[in-house]
Amino acid sequence: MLRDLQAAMRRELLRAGTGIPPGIECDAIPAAIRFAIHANNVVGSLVEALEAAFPATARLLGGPAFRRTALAFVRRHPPRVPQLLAYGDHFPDHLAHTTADPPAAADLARFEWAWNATYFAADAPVLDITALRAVPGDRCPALRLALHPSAHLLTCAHPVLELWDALRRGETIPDPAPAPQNLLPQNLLVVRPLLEVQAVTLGSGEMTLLMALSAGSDLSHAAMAASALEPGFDLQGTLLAHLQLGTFTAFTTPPL
Amino acid sequence: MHAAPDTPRTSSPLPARAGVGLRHRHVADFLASPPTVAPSVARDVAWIEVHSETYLAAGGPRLRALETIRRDFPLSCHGVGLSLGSAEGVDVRHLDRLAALYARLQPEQVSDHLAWSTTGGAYLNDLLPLPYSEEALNTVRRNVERVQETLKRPILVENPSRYLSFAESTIPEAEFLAELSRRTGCGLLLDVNNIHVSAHNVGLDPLAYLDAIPAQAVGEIHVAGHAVHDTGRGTLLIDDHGSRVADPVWHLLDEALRRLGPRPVLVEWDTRVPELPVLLAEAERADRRIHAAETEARHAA
Repeated sequence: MLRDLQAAMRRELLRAGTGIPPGIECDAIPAAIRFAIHANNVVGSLVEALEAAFPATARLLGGPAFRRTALAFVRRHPPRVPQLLAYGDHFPDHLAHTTADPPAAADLARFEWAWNATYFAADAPVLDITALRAVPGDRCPALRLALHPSAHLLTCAHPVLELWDALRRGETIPDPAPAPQNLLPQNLLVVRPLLEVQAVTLGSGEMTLLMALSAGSDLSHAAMAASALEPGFDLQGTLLAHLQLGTFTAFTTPPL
Repeated sequence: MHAAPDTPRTSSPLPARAGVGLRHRHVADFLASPPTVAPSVARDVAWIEVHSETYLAAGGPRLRALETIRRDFPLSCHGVGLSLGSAEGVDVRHLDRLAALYARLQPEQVSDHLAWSTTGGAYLNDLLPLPYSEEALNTVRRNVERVQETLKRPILVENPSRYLSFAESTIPEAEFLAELSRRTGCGLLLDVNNIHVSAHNVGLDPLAYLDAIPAQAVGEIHVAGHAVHDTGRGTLLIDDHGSRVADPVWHLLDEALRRLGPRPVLVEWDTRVPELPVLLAEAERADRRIHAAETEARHAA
């Protein structure tokens, strides 16, 4: 049965051993060598797909170490759909469980995945500041601001933005890394308002505001949450900065 | 088994000229030099082909760039993920995503491979071989029918490169493809590099292969480079699309064009992708051969 043959081939293609499915003809060149062409294509191309999706993480770990851990991931978690742009979303978790050194690797991979997701996200217009200015002042607290569909918010234990930037520019990595107790978590927004992906660090109030707006809170509740976390939080300045960056795509006000 | 007389006629919507596979490395070249500005691109590239799955994104710069370039060139969307040989059928969600992409890009032609890549919820990212049996033929027929129903258009199915054969195969590959085309109305994409590679690796007669292909079903031809792999027990040719087209493959292209008449010919280059002029020079070589076949056909008529 074709179904059984394909299941047997899948097992052998993803297994590290030298087994082959039944029924392959051989001549001077043994069936195992012939089958190995496909096995190498399968795991080799998937490892390459991960290298392409996580170039900075690959540079941080070094090629051979990255490929070793990527190979283990590919064998355990092959793609579920024929859409390699979407392959690798669980790779940062895999790194977190398997790669303790350098400690920033998993966070860097999470950031790179957010960058990819932002790059391939749906296009949408950027919220026009003049449209927002036309909203009467007394209705502003009830405003709901929709984040751009490309926007991703993440919190990393390590300062990954600086690390990513250094790796991308081929600079040497600051060493030794700061001791874990001296690390401050880094809040990040990755967004692609037009064609360029932007990544910025966020203050804790700013992060809280955007998270609350993203979850559907109105402006007054989101601002309260931000001020609770960061006394003296500058709502106006923060909103203006994000309107200029292109963090929002639309707003709604409740009917009168 | 011979090509039945009722094989559907496939007249290609692409020009019978050389096209190139559009790869990321060359996107900036294509964007910077639309054909009106850079006649060198226009002269050598009559149409472009992309790998459909590379563009399965909700949006973003990659898709945007293709939409821009596509305005200047006829487009062929070549899939690598439909897994037409899957015993468990075609992944309907994947098919829907492709249908949405094609609705957006409006490609002149759509194709995929006589191979499988998905089973048990895993996509293996390789064009894996099928045994050529009646069971496999029925499986591929059902899958092609499903695809064509959803996309509401005929697709082309490409012959794969083979590194191994199954003992249970009973139908020669060319006849399998001819029968698939006859039963489903699909067209064929004839990859002459793959014929050459398979001929070397599993012992086919390339000219007999060409003779068994129903000419009117062929809507497109591929050429590409391959690598030679010394296994220690003999050589295998690897279809890596990583070099210039080899001389025997150019000759096989001539033989194919002689039998089929002028057809759109794509130069594929996917690994170690060179500068655009190198690829364009290969396209120009392909163009000269199509032109020669055209002249020959006219004289014969």
